[in-house]
Amino acid sequence: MAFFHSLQNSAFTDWFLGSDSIWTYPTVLTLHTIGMAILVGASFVINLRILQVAGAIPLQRLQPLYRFVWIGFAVNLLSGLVLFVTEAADRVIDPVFYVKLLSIVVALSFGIVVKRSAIGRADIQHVAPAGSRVLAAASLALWIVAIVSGRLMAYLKH
Amino acid sequence: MNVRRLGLVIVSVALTSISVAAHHSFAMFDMEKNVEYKGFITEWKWQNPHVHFNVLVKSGAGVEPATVGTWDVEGGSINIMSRQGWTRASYKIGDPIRLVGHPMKDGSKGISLFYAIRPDGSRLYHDIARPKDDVKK
Amino acid sequence: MTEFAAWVESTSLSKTLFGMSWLWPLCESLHFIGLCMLIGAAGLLDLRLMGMFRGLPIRHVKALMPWGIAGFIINATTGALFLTMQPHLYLSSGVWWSKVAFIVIAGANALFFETRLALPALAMDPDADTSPGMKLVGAFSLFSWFAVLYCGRMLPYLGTGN
Repeated sequence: MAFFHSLQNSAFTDWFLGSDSIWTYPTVLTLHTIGMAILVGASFVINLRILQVAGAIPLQRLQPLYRFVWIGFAVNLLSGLVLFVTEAADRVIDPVFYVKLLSIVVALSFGIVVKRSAIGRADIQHVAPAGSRVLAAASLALWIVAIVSGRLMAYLKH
Repeated sequence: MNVRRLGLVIVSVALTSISVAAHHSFAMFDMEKNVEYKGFITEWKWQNPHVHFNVLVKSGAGVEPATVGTWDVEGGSINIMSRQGWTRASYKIGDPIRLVGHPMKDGSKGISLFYAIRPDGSRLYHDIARPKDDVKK
Repeated sequence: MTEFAAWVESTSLSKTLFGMSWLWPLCESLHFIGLCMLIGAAGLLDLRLMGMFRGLPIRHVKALMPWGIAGFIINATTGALFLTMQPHLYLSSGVWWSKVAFIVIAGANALFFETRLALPALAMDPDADTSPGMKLVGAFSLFSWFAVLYCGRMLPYLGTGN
């Protein structure tokens, strides 16, 4: 716990949160939003298609979208780490933060399973297996939980 | 499948938003009420995303009883407040302060900062909002 | 603008809406969800127009548009609510008007695509490269929507009024 307090009370945190430049906190926060748009945007397209409610893109052709899932995730992992450092002690005991992280991890995991079970298969073109569709629906809900819990964190500071 | 997902979405968004209302949202302040507080700074956090400071209002002659106590005052971002003239050095722990703000609706000791009043009577607003009566100034 | 914003905030509609403590956070969550829907759907079409995902018929990508439009409608609605509840945060802000300008630009670009390039795009061989015109329209659209996102997210920092 002392470790997290040392992060939150560090010189880096003082500088980062106390800077009146738009290139520190505001920019990192905006990068986090951009990463979300890419990560969740790509995930929405993949999952909506798996659920048969978004046209007839041949399933294999969804594969390149995963590149954007990982790009968005990388941007948010990095920006998220920076933001976490500045609130480490408060967030490490914040249940909403764990809801957010858990929903992200599970949604990404489901995305990987869907990729293997529906998108990476040469024998399936148009209709994903029922199991994949359940995971796709669950992923959509989980991404929404991640977004809402992320927003909620802004209201539950200190 | 689609309707169930939509239902899940609505329920999760609604539940989390309702629980937000139980916590510290700026919509929890009574924006209609402008209350003046006179006290001393006991904590000063000049930081993004919101500047926060604590004000201790002691009871005494001429002090509104409803304003007595230690209050958590929430301002805006450093960037916005700087544009209105605030700086990191505007106040420090121990400084006296007079401010007008909107208290929490539920009676807990939180204030949404409207403006501080300098010793010369001029105002230090937290953002572009001005009182309705001097909008035309 | 300051006087108009003050007038809006004095109306009972504004006060009632803003008085519902859960409404603002709910609108924020929906606004984020809407933007992901819009950028997901429009983003895929824009990338396809820019030449990525070669081999994928454009008509399949266009089938996603209703979701993008739904995202836009969610954001226009929640945006209108923010504007009604706290207009002073937006109406005097150059950053907010820039956001509006980029939305108009993105919309005009989409209209241009629909009226001039949609038919050739739908008719083209999916394995062929997209035309320079399509690439430009796609890139411009993608840039515009991210500019909208940038202006929106930076509002509490770049300025809600100068």
